[in-house]
Amino acid sequence: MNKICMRATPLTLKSICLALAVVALASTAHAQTDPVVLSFSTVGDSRQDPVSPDGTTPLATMSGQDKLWLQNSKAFSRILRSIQAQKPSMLFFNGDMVHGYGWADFTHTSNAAGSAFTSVAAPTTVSEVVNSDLVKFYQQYAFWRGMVAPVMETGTYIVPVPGNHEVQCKACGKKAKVENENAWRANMGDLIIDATRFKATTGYDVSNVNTGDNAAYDSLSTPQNGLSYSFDVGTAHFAVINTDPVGADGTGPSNWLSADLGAAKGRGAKNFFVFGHKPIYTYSYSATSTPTPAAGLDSNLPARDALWNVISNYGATYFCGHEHIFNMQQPTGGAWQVLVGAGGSPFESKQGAASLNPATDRSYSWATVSVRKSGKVDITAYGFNDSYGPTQVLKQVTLAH
Amino acid sequence: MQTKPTIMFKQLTVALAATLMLAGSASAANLLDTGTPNGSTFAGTVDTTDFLALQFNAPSAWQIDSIAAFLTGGNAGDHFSVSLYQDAANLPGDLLASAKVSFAVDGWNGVSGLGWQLPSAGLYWLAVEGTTLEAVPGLPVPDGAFQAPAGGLSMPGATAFASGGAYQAAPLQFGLQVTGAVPEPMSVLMLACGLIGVVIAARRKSV
Repeated sequence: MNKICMRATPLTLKSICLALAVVALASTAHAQTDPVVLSFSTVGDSRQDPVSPDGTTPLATMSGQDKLWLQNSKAFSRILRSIQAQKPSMLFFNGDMVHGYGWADFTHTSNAAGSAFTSVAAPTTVSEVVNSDLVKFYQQYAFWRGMVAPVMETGTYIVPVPGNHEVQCKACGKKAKVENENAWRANMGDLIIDATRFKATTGYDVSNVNTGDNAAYDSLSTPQNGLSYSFDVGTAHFAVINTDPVGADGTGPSNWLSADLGAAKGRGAKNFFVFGHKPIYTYSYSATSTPTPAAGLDSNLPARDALWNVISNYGATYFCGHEHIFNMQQPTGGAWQVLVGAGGSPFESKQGAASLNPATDRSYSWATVSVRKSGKVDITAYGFNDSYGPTQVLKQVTLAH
Repeated sequence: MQTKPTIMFKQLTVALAATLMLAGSASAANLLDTGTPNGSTFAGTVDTTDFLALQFNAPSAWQIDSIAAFLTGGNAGDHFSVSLYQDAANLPGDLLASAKVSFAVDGWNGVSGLGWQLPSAGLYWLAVEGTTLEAVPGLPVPDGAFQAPAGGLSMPGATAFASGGAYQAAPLQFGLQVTGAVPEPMSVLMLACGLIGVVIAARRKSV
């Protein structure tokens, strides 16, 4: 362009060149004056299914490794590689990192489908011990921790969010169990939230860490420390909620969240990000005669609305998983719900089935969020299809501050 | 005062030099231009994991002087690399050259002064990468993550991508512009004619 401008003699051409130069300089100036001050990625649901995997990963050809530790290690490791390349400071994993779904003590052994379990009052054989749900939970947690460990070593702190496969027992009627909540803390507690390690990993100071027992706000029956928690990084506030607490499965702690976001706002927080496992609003992806099953918190409408009102009132963004699919929506026209539950688990939309957004409904996906100095937030969703094609940008939005 | 043979020698020298200059120069040209993406389809990504590559057919031994890729989403000062590969069964094969490119603004970002000479006519690949698949001494590991908008583009050949491993074929779009020099058949012809003329003139002089 410069050469053309130098050779140009007509005034009009010079003017065009000058205008183009001004535009280019303005673009550069914008990027420099509103730099990214913090970024994070988020994804959920990498666990494999021992009975009903996706059509692209049938049991007949599934690796012995994934059958044993129940991860979709091919999809999840590619997502992790890409996230490492994007160099975010945090990775929020929105639950279902393990298949779990049993009763995490040594007296119960669930069958493969998790539909029933046998009870042994006091295990006496090696088989009884290693096949217990407790050991299976710990095995699967350890494998997942090994997968994400390299990400921690390259500057991205892992922030875990509990999912129904971690806290619920399927054979118990898909109910959360305190033993499962204890197993969660035992296997994830060191991450929630180690300020010293956070600083060493990311270079950022984490402050106002609230990992105590907040159960009383919502009259929950078991301690919620390490299950629903929050912290600040700069002027950004992050809250993690347990969407399946014992005795209140399928609900979010709206009272605690309201108090938590209010306190953060009171100390000057500009941006609010909330992470939970289950969507508050189900993404209805089905375009067949079979309707999309209700998967979110919308089975209890008063509770759903109470939780969403909190998020909406604070201009927060809600990130979730559970439905193994990608979707971004503004349920009430304002705040965004970002569903990134396709981290490797069997897709919700089955192979060949008609769906609402066929271009993205069977894409392994994640989102990376950039917070700019001005307070503006860029949310970019990335993904690749079930044939492991090129990584693409699925959707991008900018939230004005 | 110069003698007649001296003048003739000078004339021959000038003629030879002029002929060689004309023959040696090749015309600067837009060797490849996909056009500018209109963003009507999904953007691809380029980072230290995800690479994009485009096959092209060079009808002669091109010299590639500049390469620009249409990328967005980077921060000023980030950089990526562009790489030239030989074709290997319709996928990028051996690495021939690679260069670092600094990202300035959303849009076309490129590097000039490359002087990459293709060894012959044939199929080659140009890739936009966060790094190169093969270590290139002296080329630092780039540090950016970018988006490559697609849509409305004219891709001249096959395309491929890599994600943490070898390149694999896949239909995709991304903006690429390449300029350089094309050896012209007329220049070669002029070289031959010039040389013949020089030889004839030299023979007459010696007779």
